[in-house]
Amino acid sequence: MSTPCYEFFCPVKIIAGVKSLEHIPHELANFSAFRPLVITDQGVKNAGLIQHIDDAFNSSDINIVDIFDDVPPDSSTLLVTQIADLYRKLDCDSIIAIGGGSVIDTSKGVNILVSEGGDDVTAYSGVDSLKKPLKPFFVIPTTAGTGSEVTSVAVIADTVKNTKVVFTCSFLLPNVAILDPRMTKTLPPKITAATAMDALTHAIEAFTCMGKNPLSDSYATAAISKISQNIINVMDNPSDEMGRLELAQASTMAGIAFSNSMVGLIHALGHSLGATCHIPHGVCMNIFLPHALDYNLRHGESILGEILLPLAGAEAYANTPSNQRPQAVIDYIHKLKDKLHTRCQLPRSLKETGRVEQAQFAKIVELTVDDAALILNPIEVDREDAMAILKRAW
Amino acid sequence: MKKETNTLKTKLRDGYLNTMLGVIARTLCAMSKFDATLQKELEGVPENFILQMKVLPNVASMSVQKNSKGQLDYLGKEPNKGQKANVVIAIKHPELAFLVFSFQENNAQAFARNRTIIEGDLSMAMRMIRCISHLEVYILPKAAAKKALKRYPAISFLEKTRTAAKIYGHLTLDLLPGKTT
Ligand SMILES: [Fe+2]
Repeated sequence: MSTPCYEFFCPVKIIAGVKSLEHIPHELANFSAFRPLVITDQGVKNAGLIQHIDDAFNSSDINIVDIFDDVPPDSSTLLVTQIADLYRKLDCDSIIAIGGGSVIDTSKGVNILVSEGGDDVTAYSGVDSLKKPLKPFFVIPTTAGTGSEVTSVAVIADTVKNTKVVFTCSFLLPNVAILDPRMTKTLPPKITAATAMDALTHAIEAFTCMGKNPLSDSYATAAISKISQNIINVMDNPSDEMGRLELAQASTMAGIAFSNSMVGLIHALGHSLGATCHIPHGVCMNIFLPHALDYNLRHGESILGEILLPLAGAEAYANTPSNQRPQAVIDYIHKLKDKLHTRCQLPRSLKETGRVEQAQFAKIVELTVDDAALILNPIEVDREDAMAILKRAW
Repeated sequence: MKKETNTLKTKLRDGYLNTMLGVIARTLCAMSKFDATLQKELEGVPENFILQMKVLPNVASMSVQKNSKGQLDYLGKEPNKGQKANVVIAIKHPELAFLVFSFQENNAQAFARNRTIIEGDLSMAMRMIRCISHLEVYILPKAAAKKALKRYPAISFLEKTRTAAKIYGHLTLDLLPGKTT
């Protein structure tokens, strides 16, 4: 069911491909920005990726003012304040975030404070609290999955109140996202697989949930085909830069798709499992993807079969009778999970994570039915339904 | 200069929207006094929590608040002075609200089409949306409720009639002059 009325917005300039990092100095100058602060994490630093950025600023008249390289996987509003102080102290005029979801969300928070003023970023939480553009903000994703480089959302933990603070505003969108194959080349196999499955889930939910629209559909289907064509190849040849670039682009495309159509049941379950058992988001997506699609299908969801074309290719699509296509999609995903499990032991079930106990199901169910992602799932999900899916995913 | 055409039609529409929001608010409050499903949902809602639903710009509005007994109180259009709603569900334009309240578009569709804004604590918003879906089963004719909801639950005609009778009973009591609940 495509909506007869929709909104679509993505003002992010995307620079993708070989030596795209070298475009950054010129792009910064376009924003009259000459004093960038780099925000990143230890993983990026230890993988030697900062060197690529340094190289890109060689032979340019712009210097990186400082590099904050200590963003943890679970960032916090306190850290946001701390980095904002550094930015002000050093008189920076722009931000370059290099990393995955946590680094990017933290940087979005920093950008709020350094643009709007103040020390408490939570004052700007909620929907559309910002009323004017922020400082020039560039993002270089190093995981191909979250799509944060093209979303207007940031989720940052408030460790004092022990809650997660959500910020939603179009001014949080980066000005420029740079997808350079060098930056995802060293991503370890398990994270490569998990983040690719997150991106695949973004695209599939964008295509099958109620917020779908013709523009998000086109990004979603293109992302699905790029992921399915490249994921196994990249797992087998980790240094294949072009394959990596395909996955990075797919992740950005899936990000554009879901940020304009929203996600559904798989993310509701995944958020809840992640919060309860501290399992990485991509792993949660990998576990729930086929089971939630199966639940939706059995309760009347009707367009899943169309995904077979981008997922399995024209020949497989043409050889499958239309009434068998939805099941073929689910079977394909199960097989993909098996292949990834063989290559990097990415858990396929709750049990395989070794970190979930059935006694935790009740809590996961409660969180799931309270997750806003359920609003746009095509099928209603109550507590019993969510429990049944958890049991199937065990 | 903006010219309001067909004022009678827009007045009727806005009156209808106010009536519908008022009915939803008062029914939520009435059902919170006896309905087990609603009471269970409300258990997870903090005391003094306020839900506001409105039609922008200032066309129609309703607010309800959870009291110390775990039930909901009707606050009128706006929260009391000095209080702020914890969850605000707003529809961007009265014509868009009319699509929802005339059952041409369900709540999820309105949200999918970017016609609705949900602000505040989203998990509490999900709870309140479940409460409203639950009450729609009982106060709407089956045909309308089927359109308003993603899934119409399996309830018997008898159960529906009994609950509806209880709701109307409580509503009548609540509306007695001089009684404030
Ligand atoms: Fe995701």
